[in-house]
Amino acid sequence: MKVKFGVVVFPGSNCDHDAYYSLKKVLGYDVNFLWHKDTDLMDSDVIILPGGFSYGDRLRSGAIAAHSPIINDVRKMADKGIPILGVCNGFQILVEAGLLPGALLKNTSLNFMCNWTSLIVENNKTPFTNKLKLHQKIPIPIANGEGRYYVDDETLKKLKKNNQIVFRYSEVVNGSTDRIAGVCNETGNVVGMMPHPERAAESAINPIDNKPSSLIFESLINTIGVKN
Amino acid sequence: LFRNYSDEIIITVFFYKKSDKYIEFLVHVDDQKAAEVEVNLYCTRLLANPIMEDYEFELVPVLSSAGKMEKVE
Repeated sequence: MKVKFGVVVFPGSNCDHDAYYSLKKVLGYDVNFLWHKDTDLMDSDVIILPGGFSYGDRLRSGAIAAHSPIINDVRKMADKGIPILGVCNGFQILVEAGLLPGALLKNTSLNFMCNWTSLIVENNKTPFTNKLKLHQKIPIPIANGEGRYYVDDETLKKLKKNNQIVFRYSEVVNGSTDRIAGVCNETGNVVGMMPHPERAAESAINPIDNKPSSLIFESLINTIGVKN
Repeated sequence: LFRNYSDEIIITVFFYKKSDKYIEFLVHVDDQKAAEVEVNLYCTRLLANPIMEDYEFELVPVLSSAGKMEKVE
């Protein structure tokens, strides 16, 4: 089966076109934009919630978008086991919607951070990481002001026990609990991460190594089917 | 919101947190207890994220001079 991506567009999303470009032009997948008020998800096999500043980060980042009409359908798809990836603001939306545990606070520096960093793969069983090696290092950009992942001790224990920590920063970047950069839900089909794989999947814009970031999207082939 | 509220108590809610967010809104309910239930619901579902934020609120009954509320939007 051909893998069909759906990229959700909220008012204020700004990585929706990056995601579209990377998936369609760089990796050659079928991609559709899905407006946040849509109820037709165009038979998408994978849903991407892109980065940006949905609703201008009013109240808290992702708080308003988490109540967008499409989130009801995203929730149903999450229950059905359909792979959902939230990147940056998409991750913030998923935690605000309660689809992922924890919350994202302001970086300890209190600044917006726009840097290259590296991630360590901690779980390569999810639909988005199954082509990556365990403990593999991934060079990847971050771009966020509120990217410090926070969970309480009890939830952290649960995350570790269920193997829900998907990515860790290789060093302390923004003060995240346990250097967590990405987590998944209990069933593993909903993944959220702060760094931007869609901005690192093309060799021209990733001078270090674009392979691992593209493998985050290519992993879907193992879960769903062929590319074309 | 376009009904005649003459027989109801109109309550204004002040909502504030340490992060300097302050929100004021009207709820149309019969009594204080119903107002508390309603406001707590708004706060936990949308206005505050209980994982990282605390909130407090204050209820202030509001009655119009004519004893009824005009159109509120």
